[in-house]
Amino acid sequence: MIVRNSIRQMFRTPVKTFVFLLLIICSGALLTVGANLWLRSNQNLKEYEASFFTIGTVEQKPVSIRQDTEWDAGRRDYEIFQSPQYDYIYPVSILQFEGADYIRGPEKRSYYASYAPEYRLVCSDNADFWVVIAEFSPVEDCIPNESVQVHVTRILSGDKNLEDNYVWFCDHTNENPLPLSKDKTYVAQLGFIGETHGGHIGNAIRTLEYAPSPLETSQYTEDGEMMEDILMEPSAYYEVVPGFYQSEEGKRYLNYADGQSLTGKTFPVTGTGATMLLIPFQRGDAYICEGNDISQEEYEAGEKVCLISQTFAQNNNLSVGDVVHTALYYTNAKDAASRNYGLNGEQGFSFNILNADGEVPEVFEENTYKIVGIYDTVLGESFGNYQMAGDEMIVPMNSIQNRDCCNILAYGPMKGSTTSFQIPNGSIDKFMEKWEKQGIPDLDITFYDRGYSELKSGIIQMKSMSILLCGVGLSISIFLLLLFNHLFIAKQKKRIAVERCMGVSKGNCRMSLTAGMFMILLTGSLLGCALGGVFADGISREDFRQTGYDMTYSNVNVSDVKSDFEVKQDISMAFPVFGLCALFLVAMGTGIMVYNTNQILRLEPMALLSGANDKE
Amino acid sequence: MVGGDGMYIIARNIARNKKKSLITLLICVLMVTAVNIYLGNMQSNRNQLMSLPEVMPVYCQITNLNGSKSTGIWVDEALARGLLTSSQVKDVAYGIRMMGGIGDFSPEEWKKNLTLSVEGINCMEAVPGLTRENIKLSQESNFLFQSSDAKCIVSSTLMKERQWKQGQEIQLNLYYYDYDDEKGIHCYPMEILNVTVVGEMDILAGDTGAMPPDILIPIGLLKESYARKQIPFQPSYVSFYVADPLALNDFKAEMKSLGFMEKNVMANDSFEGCALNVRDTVFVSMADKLQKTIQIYKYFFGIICLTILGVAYIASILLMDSRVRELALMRAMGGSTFRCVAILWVEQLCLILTGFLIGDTVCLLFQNVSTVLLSDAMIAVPYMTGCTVALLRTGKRSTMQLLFATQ
Amino acid sequence: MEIIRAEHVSYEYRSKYQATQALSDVSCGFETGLMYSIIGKSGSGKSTFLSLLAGMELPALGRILVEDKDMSLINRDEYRMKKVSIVYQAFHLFPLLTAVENVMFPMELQGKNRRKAKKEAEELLLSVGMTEETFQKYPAMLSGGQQQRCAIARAMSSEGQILLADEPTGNLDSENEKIIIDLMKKMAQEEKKAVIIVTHNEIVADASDVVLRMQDGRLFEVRTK
Repeated sequence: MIVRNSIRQMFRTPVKTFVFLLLIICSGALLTVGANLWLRSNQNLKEYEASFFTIGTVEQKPVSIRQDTEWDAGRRDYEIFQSPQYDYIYPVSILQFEGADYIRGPEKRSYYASYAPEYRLVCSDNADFWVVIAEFSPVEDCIPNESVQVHVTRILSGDKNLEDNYVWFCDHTNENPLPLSKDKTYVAQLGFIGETHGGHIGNAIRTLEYAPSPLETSQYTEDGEMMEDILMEPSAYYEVVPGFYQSEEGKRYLNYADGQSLTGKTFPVTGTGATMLLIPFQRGDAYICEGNDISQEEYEAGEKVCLISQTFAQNNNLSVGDVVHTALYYTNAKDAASRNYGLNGEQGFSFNILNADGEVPEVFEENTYKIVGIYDTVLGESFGNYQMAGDEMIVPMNSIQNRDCCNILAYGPMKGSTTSFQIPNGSIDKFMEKWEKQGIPDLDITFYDRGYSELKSGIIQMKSMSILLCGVGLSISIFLLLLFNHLFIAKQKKRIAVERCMGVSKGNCRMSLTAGMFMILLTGSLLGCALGGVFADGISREDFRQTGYDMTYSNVNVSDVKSDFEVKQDISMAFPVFGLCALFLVAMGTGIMVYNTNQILRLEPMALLSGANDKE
Repeated sequence: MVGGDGMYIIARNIARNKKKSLITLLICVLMVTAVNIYLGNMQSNRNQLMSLPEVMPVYCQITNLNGSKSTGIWVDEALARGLLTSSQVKDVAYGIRMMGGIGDFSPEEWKKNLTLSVEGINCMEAVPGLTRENIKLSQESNFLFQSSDAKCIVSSTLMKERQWKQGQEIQLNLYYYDYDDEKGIHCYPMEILNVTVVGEMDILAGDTGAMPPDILIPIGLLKESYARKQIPFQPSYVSFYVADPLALNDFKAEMKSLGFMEKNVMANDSFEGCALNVRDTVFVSMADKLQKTIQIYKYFFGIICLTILGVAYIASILLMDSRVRELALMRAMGGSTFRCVAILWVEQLCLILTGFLIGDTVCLLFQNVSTVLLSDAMIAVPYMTGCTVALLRTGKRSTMQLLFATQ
Repeated sequence: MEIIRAEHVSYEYRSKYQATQALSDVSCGFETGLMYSIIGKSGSGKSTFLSLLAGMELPALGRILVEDKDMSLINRDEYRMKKVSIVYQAFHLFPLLTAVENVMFPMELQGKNRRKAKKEAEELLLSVGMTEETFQKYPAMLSGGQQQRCAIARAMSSEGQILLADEPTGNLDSENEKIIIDLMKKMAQEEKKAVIIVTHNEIVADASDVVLRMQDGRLFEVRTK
């Protein structure tokens, strides 16, 4: 009866009641629209900030430069060349210091050569024309301290077109080369070194000469110690005598030929802890064009999943979900794969594909990986070693059981292309401060953060503004509830005073006072929040249908239009927001209402009556 | 209108109606702050967007149609010219590769003599890895790659091999590359240029993996040579930056009008440099997010404004309604409707102006004056309108009715 | 029968800065079936005394006994609902309830059936001289006399044995004043209620059975007719 009376009296001032209702509707709409706005802009800001990665690369500086000399047969003089010297090769663990706040890494990446005769590779059609293993005979007795003509009698490895051809030969870097006899056959690894020179060429056309290089091995232990070559000081060329190829030297040439033939059927496999640690991906030169990136969980668990290049996928009709087999047979712990395997299939090695025993390294690990993503690369010569290699496959480092321990044919210090880590955005200065305290001057750290450092202050300002707006918005909602309570209760004071005088209990008076208010509050909140939600939802849909930039010519043709799945997710966000806002308004409003009501009912009826009279 | 006495009454009313006065002040302060923070939010996103181009320049390259080559291609003369004269691009780096030999020789002797790789470039950036530090110039020279000076820079290897010295004049016999789909790439004689060696270039190979040129000459010199021989000048490689990445769409529209094509991975291999590759993904991704945020704010602004205006309007009506008794009593004691309404109206105006003063003081810390004043006007108008409507409505009713109504 | 008694009642009004002694050591009793007038100048403490008798506050000193029970020990809300009804000078009708609804209010409060309450309310309104046309009118549409009669009808609807009236005729003309006094007398004599009227009107005092004079918060004369 009390409640009925209360509501009845409320409806007898329809205009005032409606105005109060409108006030709460406006509060609800404002709160819901504001909440939606804050959520969406916050989401955008998070995505924006997540686009930044701060990757640091590490390069060990040489402690000194050693000057060496090498004989130049063309100039008949020694040529000076410089090579960096390292007292000690730092392990990557030296970067784990107290206070280092890494998100990922640091890691020093090796790449592994995978023998893959069953796949079509970019290097398949590229024979290494620059280097051949050939048997040859000089046209006359000579000392190859200048260009001398030789007849290539047999090609063991390399350009077969050279067979039965005459080429110019010089032991270019040897001041005192061994003489050659015209009726003998020799074998050597031959490569171009410069133009022909010397008296033997006479009026012949100047062309390129071949020079021999010894078949040295370069195998390392896990700790980076070079293993001894079984041939103490291999010669640049050997005479082919009967049984030569059964000797260690001869076997080496045959093995090397085998090894060379493998390189045309090899693609590099790089193990890493995160795709973003690879600088080409961080800089946007490489990007996932199909499927997904390897997830952090997959990286950590060492799952047998991989990313392959688009060229590799197209050449072998592979797509996301297919599997790729790997057979790893050597490890390069010195360089990034791009140093040896060019994007267009060209290859160049500073080491021979032979182990310390002079044999072709054997496969030490076989795996099968599932393709989760395909990446494409943007060409560009200007980015040097920070390029992807031809047919390079990216796998979780932890998926390789025998990483950094088997058939290590090249070993070197940390380089920017092989060693990197990720730290939180905006923490470069803090990191460097702590790093410098470690007192290790020989390591150069370079950061790539996509410009976050310059944009950081702007991002912080955006965040602060966003929080401020949220705070002010909430304050407005609370304030409106206070206003509503104050004005509404002011109207009811006299009625409550009379009811108290007539003996209505405090509880009933409370109900009488709050019934009407609660009804307006509930109705207004639900209507207002619903209205706000509809507006906000309508705007968001409109927003997501638009794409801002023309993606013609872009290196990645990824549409920004959200998929249906994503739109559905937004719809489902609208209801919780509406519900939470309405709940907040009703709860807060009820709380304020109860507090105010209790304040009024604390007064005795006499004081209430006189107060109502005065304040009216 | 209200007079000195009126102002005294207004001041007393404000002081005596503490709660209501405070409510009015708070409405103004909160609304002004909210609007300005909102606009400040939008502005901070805009500022971030404006900073992006400097931090994230958009690099472009011309490639062949399937995107497999960005150097050693033939870029159509018209395309190159269009690019060089376009206002949408900046820092264009281009060059042309040629073969060269020293001295005069017949084309039949090309195998023996044509052993040097020569590049004409317009700036250092055209050659990967080439910086001022790599070049040793003779003291007297002021070498500009853009010029048509008959000068050249030679690699240190070649200098040693040929035993040239800086300042020495050499007779450079230039051959240009041409190709056709049947015969492939061939060299053809162009002309002999007498150029002076003015600088020595360190070895660049090793850093980039690219084959470094033996000799660099100014592009202007080559262009003149091409023009003399009436051979189309087709650069071997062109790269540049978008002048204003924020106007990326305008840039791309212009590129389309010039005739650049999009990379098509399925196309056959070719040497024609007709496709454009724009490295804008990262920039677009970030700029897009910022643009979307700004758009969201813009779209929401209307509704939030309407809501705030509605709140201001309703709040003022309700506050005025609670002063009806006062108005009735003033009129019962002989005050004219106009004067009574004016006193209450001016009282509200004084309150909101005070509220604006407080709010504006805070907002001017992060917002400019014009925006703050605009937000003041945005709130003052609906608030005073609500106040006016409420007072006029009340003023129209008879005094007696008002007095009975308040009882 | 004595139904309510004040014993050495004192009360003071306190504000932040000052205290005013409204009543000092007032002692008296009220019986059913009699009409009492409490007269005195403005500020003599009459309305305060009435408010204390109504249970709206407790005295600072002394006590008030209702049917020999100390008021401080009983439920005063229930007391005001069931034992006492009040008529005010300013009527204090619910502005958004009609005349009949105002009269029905106390009956509904005590749990009476709505239909019955309405019927009774209409009868009460008729008994106080209101016409049927006035039943559905809001207080703002009624004259002062009609409003006061409505208030009295509301007071009569309560079954309480005490009727307190604070200057019930203060806003009325002489004709209406007489009607109201007669109604109150009727309630005292026929319904055996203890009618206690605060007034400064001597005509009302003359009509009463007992006149209590108050001055400066003290009861200085009790005159029985």
